[in-house]
Amino acid sequence: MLEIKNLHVKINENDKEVIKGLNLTIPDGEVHVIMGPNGTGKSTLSQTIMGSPKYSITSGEIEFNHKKLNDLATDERARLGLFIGMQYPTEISGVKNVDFIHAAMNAMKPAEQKVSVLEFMHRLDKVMDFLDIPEDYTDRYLNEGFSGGEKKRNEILQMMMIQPQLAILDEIDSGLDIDALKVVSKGINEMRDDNFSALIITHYDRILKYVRPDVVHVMMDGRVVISGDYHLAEQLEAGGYATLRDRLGIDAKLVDD
Amino acid sequence: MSLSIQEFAKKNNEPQWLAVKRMVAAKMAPNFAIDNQQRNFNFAKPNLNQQKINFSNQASDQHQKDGVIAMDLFAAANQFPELIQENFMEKAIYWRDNQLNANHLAYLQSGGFVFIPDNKYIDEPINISNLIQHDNQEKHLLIIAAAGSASNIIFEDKNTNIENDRLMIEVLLGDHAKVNFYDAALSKAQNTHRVLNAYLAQNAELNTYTSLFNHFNSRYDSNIDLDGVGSLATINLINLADKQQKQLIKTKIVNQSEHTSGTINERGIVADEARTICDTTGQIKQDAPNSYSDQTNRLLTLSKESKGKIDPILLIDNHDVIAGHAASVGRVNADQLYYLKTRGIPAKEARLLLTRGFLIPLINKFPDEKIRKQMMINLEERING
Ligand SMILES: Nc1ncnc2c1ncn2[C@@H]1O[C@H](COP(=O)(O)OP(=O)(O)O)[C@@H](O)[C@H]1O
Ligand SMILES: [Mg+2]
Repeated sequence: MLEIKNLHVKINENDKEVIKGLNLTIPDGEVHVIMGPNGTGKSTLSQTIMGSPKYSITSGEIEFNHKKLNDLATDERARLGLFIGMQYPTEISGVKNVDFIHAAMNAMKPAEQKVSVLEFMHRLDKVMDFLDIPEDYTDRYLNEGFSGGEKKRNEILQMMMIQPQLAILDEIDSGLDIDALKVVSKGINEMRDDNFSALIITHYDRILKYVRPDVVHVMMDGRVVISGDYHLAEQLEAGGYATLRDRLGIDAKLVDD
Repeated sequence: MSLSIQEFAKKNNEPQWLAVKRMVAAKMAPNFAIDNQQRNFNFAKPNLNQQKINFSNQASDQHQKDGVIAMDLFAAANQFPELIQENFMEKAIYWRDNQLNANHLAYLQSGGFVFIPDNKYIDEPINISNLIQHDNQEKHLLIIAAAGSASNIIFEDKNTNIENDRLMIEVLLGDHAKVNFYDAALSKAQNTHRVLNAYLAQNAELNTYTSLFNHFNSRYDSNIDLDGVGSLATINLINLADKQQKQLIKTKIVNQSEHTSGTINERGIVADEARTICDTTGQIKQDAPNSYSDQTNRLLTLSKESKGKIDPILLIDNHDVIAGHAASVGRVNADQLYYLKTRGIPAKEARLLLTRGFLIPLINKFPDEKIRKQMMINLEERING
């Protein structure tokens, strides 16, 4: 279970406060969605949960399975079962996708449970097949020269190989054509069970047709301003963020205004 | 008890001219130049002890069929004096150049000679690692690629634990000869000095690939002379320094004639408290119009205490040329490190992955698949201790 209490976060580079008193709880087994206008702090939130060095928590707490994350290193958080699918996955030349994923899987496991190359390749084949990923992915360098869609698929591939407890998926649906969107959704649905939860960050309700969320949150100006079920997303799609903002009487400037 | 040079030469059955040349070099050495940086590598004279010399051609059966010669240098000096007398330490590495060279000639303990016959295309890589006694201090390789030949040659150190280690490699290429040379410097000696010099005739092509993976203080010198019109050379070098290691890497390509091309590509990792200095020179002489000279140096420092320094130098006497250089010393990319950590990979291992990733693009350039694999193995072994 992920619990975020009254979180305030600033950007280190310019000291700007972006997250301004955010509360969020995601119980095990649930899929939550955060929607919100551009520049509202969604990526900042997800990167802060993972412990990116670009952001600092000024007050509040993040707990995962009742363990406080605030002062843990990023790799320690990952080994607790957290995963982030990034909005803009990093390219790393010279590091093969296959070597990277193998290293990641083994990093999650204690020494006596390391996955052999054979076991690993077998599992990788299966998952790649499931996600319709072409074979040449493995030998290519990590995300180098990948299209936007290929990068997103690669994030889902990693998620399915690593089997995290909580996956934060930041705009995993953006830049995908309908087939790719279906594949990505299939991957997320395959992961769903009582011990897995997800936080899907998105702009549009498109992906929600394929991945039914348990809870939808709307984020504006660094806070969750309203939560509800699936229908909230539909309303939002119909009326837009400005209508919702005005209805809730929030004093927030939208980038697109 | 060490033998005198004369006694040693006699036991080796060296020809008279070689024994005399060595004695003259010993006598004259103190008169030759030596700079401060070289002084650390002016090793104490080694013990000259009689060794068993293999007088036969040690090339593989297939290579022998193609006419390749790979044999002991002292044995070759008897058998092929016409090839050795005018080339050995006269063209690519000139024995009078400095004290180190003269002493090396005088106290040379073990050497290898390689000859690739003219107009032969040798497909299978020629491994010459066993031509010399690795636990000797002063070692030498003379490689002659005759006109129109093409070959891939590989040399790997056996990592012995001797105090001082010097290997000088000369590569001479005839008209239209082509050599790809992989040199793996893997010495665990306290002080290592490696020299790889080459001399190219018309339209010859030399590509050297060096893995500089020594463990302690080391100096690497490479000087390539593009003497023949239309000749082309590339130095590709990857290096790794860690702990308290000090590395000095001096590479230089001189465009002597027109339509020549010289490229230097270096990538290195500096970890812990190590210190690496790259001194990289491209020189275009007056008589070399329409030539090309380019150097790229990149050093990646892994810790706050590690230091990297690059001195790129372009000396241009003819302006009808294309020349450029790029140099950078940088830290590990923070975004890449973060991405790896989000997958649970600990910082130390993440740095290793990035280290490999940084060096591999140069390894991938080597044309022979088998040798590429060997380069990867050398890299893994060096990274893992
Ligand atoms: N590393 C950064 N450096 C500078 N400004 C940043 C950085 N990250 C985010 N911001 C700023 O913080 C605000 C929130 O950004 P972000 O979290 O990416 O929003 P969202 O993901 O909701 O679009 C924006 O104004 C953005 O420009
Ligand atoms: Mg975002």
